[in-house]
Amino acid sequence: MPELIPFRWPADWRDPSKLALVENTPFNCALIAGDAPVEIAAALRNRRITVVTNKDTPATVLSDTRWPQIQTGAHGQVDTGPTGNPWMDSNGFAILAARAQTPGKPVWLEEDPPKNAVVRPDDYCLALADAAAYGGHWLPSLECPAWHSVAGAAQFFESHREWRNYKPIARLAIVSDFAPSRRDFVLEVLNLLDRLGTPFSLVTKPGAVDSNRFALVVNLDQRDSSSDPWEAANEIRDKLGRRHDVVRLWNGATINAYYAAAPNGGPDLLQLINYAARKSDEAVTAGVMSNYRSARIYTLENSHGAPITLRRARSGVEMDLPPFAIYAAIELIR
Amino acid sequence: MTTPCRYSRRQMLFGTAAAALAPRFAKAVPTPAARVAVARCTSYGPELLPAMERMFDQIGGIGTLVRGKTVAVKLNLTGAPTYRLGHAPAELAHWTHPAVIGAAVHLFGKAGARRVRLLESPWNTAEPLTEYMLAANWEPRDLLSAAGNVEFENTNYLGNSKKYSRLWTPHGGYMFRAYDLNHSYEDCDVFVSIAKLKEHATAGVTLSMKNCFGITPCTIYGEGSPSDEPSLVPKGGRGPFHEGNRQPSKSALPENDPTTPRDGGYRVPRIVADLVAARPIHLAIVDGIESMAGGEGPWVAGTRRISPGVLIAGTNPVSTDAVGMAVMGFDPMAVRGTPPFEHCDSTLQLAEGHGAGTRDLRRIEVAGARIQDVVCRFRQA
Repeated sequence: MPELIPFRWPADWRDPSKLALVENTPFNCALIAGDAPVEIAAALRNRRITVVTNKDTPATVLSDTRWPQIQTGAHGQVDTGPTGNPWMDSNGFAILAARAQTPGKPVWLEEDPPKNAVVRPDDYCLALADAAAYGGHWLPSLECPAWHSVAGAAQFFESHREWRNYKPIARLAIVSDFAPSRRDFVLEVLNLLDRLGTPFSLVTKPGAVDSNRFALVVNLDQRDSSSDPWEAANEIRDKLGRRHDVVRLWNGATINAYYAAAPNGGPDLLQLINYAARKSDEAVTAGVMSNYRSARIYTLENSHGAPITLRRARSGVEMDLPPFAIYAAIELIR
Repeated sequence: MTTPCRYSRRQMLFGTAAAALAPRFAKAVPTPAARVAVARCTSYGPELLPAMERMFDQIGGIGTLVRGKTVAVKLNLTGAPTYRLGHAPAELAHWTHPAVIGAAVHLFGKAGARRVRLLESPWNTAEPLTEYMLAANWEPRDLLSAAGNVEFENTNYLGNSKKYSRLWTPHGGYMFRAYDLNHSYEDCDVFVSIAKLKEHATAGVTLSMKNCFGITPCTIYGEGSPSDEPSLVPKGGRGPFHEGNRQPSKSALPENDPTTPRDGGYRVPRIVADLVAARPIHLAIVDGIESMAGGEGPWVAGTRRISPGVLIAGTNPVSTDAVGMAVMGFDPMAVRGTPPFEHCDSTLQLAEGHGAGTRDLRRIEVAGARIQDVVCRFRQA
């Protein structure tokens, strides 16, 4: 059975002809309201679209997610967080946490843009890329005003579906069982580690940590869950130290990096998500602390990719990135 | 927490030198002049170390200066380590290059320095300097191994001491009578500024003296410093020094006259002149091998990379910076309203007023390469 690529059927839509929007897209699974008319469900099934409701989704559905964006203040200026860089709302940490808790189970995200927000078409593609980069699926609604762009982005990720199973490359292991009593604390620490540019691998059982792979193992379940997550994240980052950085970005204040490895060998992958969702005048450089022979860059605009030059640096290799609006992935070959 | 004064060593330093440092107040005493060495050096490769060694010889040798001494070295690592001018690593644009730092440290060690302490107050953080360097893709071990006893200290906060050191500005200072600094600026015998040859959006030029703007801890003088006592870690940058929109934490002395212009072009050059009078520079080294034009960092609009291919060194920072300005294609006698001081006062003129040295090229002996042979006109580059 092919992997389900989900979308939302708007609850108040009654016209089956709207299903034409799904033609020639990778979407093959409709999430419909429990009280949706029978003829809609039938029409969907006639088109070989799997129909699920919130009660029988075959996935972990994250509903407490955030709309991916750079936070802006009341007058439209960019808000900065405690790191001094623009504050990004991202869902990567939550997707990785869900994948760690239920390995192999798809992770779906159901967020919508904030009410009264000015949302550009690229912002919807960002929502899709933010989920897909970390192995999840954002659930776009068929009434999304940028549906065709979103479908194009979904097609891009479907053509690279193997990336969804890649595992994080990190020197930090975070251990937690995500018990309800401390789940919020653990998730916030993970979110803040992401903000601090500190990649982590998640392990749900202390005995399962391969300590040879990591420079630092932190069991968050042994921490006081009423303590300040920001202090905890900073302490972990400082203890790990920058010598154990695996990826660095220059002039990339609005970009999240997710560096991952294929589960059974093969190329490594550096995914870059630009939460500004627009091309920047900044010249962004990415560095990974490993050596590679060659690399290929893929963007939403270029699914087939193009070679990108690697430059040997003091540690590993650096790449001068071309401008990209939302997403780039660099396949790194040893 | 209190911040006691520790100025006995300062009194010793300035008690004997006060008369010579006071031409602003005693016009009969000429400002000191010292020889400045200039070298053509077009790369950070093997030619760098012999060039620097030759320059040190040309300015009289560094043996008597550093032998058996603790040498404190202020680097220029301005901005965050994640900033680059285009794709160029920071050291090829706005930071002093690690090869220049390493060569200097090696030569200090070779000349018998007892300890070399590398100092900087990096942007908005109390993290170790080594971590900051790693974030820029530097390898701090290269610097640690350049001489026998090398240390690093982040001077943007209290650091490894229990109290700040109060360094007094001779004759009351333009802006502050004294500055409370990390102990490393007092606990040293020799103070070296390793700067970059570049312009500055607020102060006209960044050379060995302007580099010392960054010796001030943001825990006291920064935007986020508490009103009464220093913060434990720095919060924000040195905006208050630029804008004069607030006073430092009350543990430090307030500025002399809060009615003076609240303008960075007035304030920053005066604060710099005060700082280099309070914490004299014994050796100024200016890295002009690779640099940038148009400002001090990539955050300044319109900046661009240039390759002047030059090193400058001298024992008097005013004279060294005067030669640096001439190499950049500027007149070191320039005053406010003329390039590069279109919107600010001249730090060199103000430092000269403190008696720190002369900026008059007619009084400065230049050794090594001639200025006209290495000049790189920044405004035309």
